[in-house]
Amino acid sequence: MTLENFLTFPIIAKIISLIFLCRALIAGKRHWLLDKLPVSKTIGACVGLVKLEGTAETEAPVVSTLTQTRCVYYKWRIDEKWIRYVKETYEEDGRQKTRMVKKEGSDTVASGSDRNLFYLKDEYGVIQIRPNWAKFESRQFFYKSCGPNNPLYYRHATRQEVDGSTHERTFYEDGVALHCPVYIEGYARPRQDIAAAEVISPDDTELFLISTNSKEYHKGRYNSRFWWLSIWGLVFFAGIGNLNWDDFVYLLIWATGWAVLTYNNLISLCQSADQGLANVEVHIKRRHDLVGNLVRVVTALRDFEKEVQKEVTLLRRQLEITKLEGKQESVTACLPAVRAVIEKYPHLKTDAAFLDLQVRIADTEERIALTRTYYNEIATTYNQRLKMVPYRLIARLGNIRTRALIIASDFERATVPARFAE
Amino acid sequence: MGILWIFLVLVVSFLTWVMGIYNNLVQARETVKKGLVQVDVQLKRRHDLIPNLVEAAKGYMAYEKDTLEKVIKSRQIAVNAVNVQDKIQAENTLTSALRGFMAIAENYPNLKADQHVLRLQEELTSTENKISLARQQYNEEVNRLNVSVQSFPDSIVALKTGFEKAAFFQLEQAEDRQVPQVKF
Repeated sequence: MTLENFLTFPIIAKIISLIFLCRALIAGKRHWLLDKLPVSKTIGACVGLVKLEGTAETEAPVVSTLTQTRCVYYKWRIDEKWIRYVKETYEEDGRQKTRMVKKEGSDTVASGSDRNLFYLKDEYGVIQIRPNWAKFESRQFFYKSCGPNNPLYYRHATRQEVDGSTHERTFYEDGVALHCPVYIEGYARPRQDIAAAEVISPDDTELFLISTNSKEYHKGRYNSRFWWLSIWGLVFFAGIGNLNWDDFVYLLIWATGWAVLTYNNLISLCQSADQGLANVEVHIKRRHDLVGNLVRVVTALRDFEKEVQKEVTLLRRQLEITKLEGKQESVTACLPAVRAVIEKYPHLKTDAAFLDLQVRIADTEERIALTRTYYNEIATTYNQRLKMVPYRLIARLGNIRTRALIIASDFERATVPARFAE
Repeated sequence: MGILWIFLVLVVSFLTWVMGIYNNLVQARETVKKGLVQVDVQLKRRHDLIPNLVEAAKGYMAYEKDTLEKVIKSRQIAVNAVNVQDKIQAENTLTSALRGFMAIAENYPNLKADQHVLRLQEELTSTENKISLARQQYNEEVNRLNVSVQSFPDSIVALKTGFEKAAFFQLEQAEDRQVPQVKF
């Protein structure tokens, strides 16, 4: 059966075309959402489907085999080229004949890879990444072809060569080096052990990506996949050369599928925007619950220090007076101990607690600001979509509304004077 | 006969598909419930932990202060003592008070009141972080349920079987929204 026969063969081709259509719709589904999500920071809105940018850091890096690079992930491979002559049967003038055919190729003689749990670091902090099942897009560490004269030739692979070897081995190694900038798409969830998040593999493992390329490189990738799959579907449905009226059935199915997909995508984008807003509330609640308590704790420490200082001063004065009078010989026995008590309080220590409080309050506000930024970004994307054709029509059909951005009130816009005197 | 079989296969596959959607919805709803429970676990942890930590820090502060007070008082008595008997007794009290004080200073050189407070601050923050992470996880689970309930064709199954959207985390009281006043 030739390809053309196959393509015009009605039912199978149409089933294949529908499979393509389904693949296209699936490619469009969660990937589309991921494409629209803003990049998160390691603090703030960092639970659920996330995109992160930063550098790969770890205390226990893996060391790559070929180049001894300290990295979080690497894979290496050694290929050996061969030329073989194979017997092939063919038909000529109705008779079976055989001939020798030269074939070229290469076999992998050795390979390996390793990865380790690592941390993504950005300007706000770190987040743990569990790279099992992740898809890596890594940078090349090493690429070299050489013959047996080179000492490298036998270093990482067996001395046994493949059948018909041309004595040329090619070494490949790539990976994600330590401190290398990385871009991650994945699913973040709270860690069990400490109060932090970690990125793990989502249910759809295709969505877990660790890449050394920038986020711009990955933008719009899923869109093109959707269109290519759709066009292939059309080719299979229509066959080659004969476009019929029933080919419009495919277009109709495709258009319905696209409308449903677009509607669903708008719904999920809308929900993500709402989720972003709810996360802002979470952080505001955190501020409300936390800052008051921190202030009370620091106040308690300050009062305590005040009292203690008062007592230590009293003790010191007592010591001076008794020394001056010089008649209390028996009491001097305890003098070194009393001195030690006084030395134990050389100065106030509340400053550390106050500094700590400042850092924590600043961090709290940073978290709120980051979640608000996140929400505003996603809400802007969402609102833009709702105003664009053809999303506009679908939004009207599905009664989907825009979301308001978080903006500052007028009194918040005014400059803030640092007032010390009441 | 053939047509009947095809019909039967179609019906069965349709039912399986609907069942799959329904089961997904059930799972999403249960996960939302779990998310809420996880938040409760963290809230309960805070409720149980923080008062005790505060008490511990407070207790330590009181202990340090009391010991210091005792030292001052017994020294005063020793200074003011007139006869030898009184003096010896006062001296003994002072020595034991000082010993108590030195014991804290020597046994816990790092666990002074300020250290207690710093640790308490750290614990307060990480507790709130845990709560906020659990709440964000809950929001994520609500998102999943809501997307399933609203998107086509799952929405039809959801409508027929009475699934509803869940509510994201929201502030209940207006005062929660206020910026806390830092005043000393």
